[in-house]
Amino acid sequence: MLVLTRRLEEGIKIGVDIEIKILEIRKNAVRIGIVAPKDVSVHRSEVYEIIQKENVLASKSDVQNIHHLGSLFKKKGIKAKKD
Amino acid sequence: MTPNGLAVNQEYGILNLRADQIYSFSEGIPGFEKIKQYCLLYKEEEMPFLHLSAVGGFNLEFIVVSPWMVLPSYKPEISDEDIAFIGAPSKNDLIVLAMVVISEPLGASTVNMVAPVIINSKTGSAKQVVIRNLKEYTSQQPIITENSQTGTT
Repeated sequence: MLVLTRRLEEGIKIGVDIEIKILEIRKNAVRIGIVAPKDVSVHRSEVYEIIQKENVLASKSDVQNIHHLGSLFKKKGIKAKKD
Repeated sequence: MTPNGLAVNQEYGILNLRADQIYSFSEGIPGFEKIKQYCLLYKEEEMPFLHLSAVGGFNLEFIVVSPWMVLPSYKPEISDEDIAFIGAPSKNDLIVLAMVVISEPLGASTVNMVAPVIINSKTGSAKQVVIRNLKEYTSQQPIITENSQTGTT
């Protein structure tokens, strides 16, 4: 991992079109500004990891029985709602 | 027919897909970043659940459902950046689906309300996004809840 020391309002450039700037330094937190192209997604790491984990679980779902789940749904009286 | 136009699914066998039936996730799906193309399959008896199946013989699929079927009051805040990412569809062209984790017993299954899949049905451009108001929802929403039983909004 590349490690750099930055002060308030200093930044880091990654490639030609990504820039990270230190906006505020508090006791236990740092506020960071990120400029990136529209086709680059920016995520909080821990949130991204939760989604990855949920997706892996979802992909292992046993799909053989989902018609039962559908009927369970209907039994509970949920009706399709138009978005 | 290129390999990209083929989907393999346990239940449906091998399918030939038209280009407009293929949804393109340019960043993949978190956990499966290298797989970019999916299609939506459904069976009448499985509704409202759909299969989001990887195209190209990956043997990968997710069960998805309209999040409003689970939580009628669901109000996801999707960022302008994410809407722009899939080509800024109009409301009518925007499909929102939530990923389901099927558990045993089936009633213990959960739905990810924090990270819905959004699809531009006009262009086929798609992305799994993290909603801005993620603190109001959970990634493991029980599929059957007191709320959804009564269907209150």
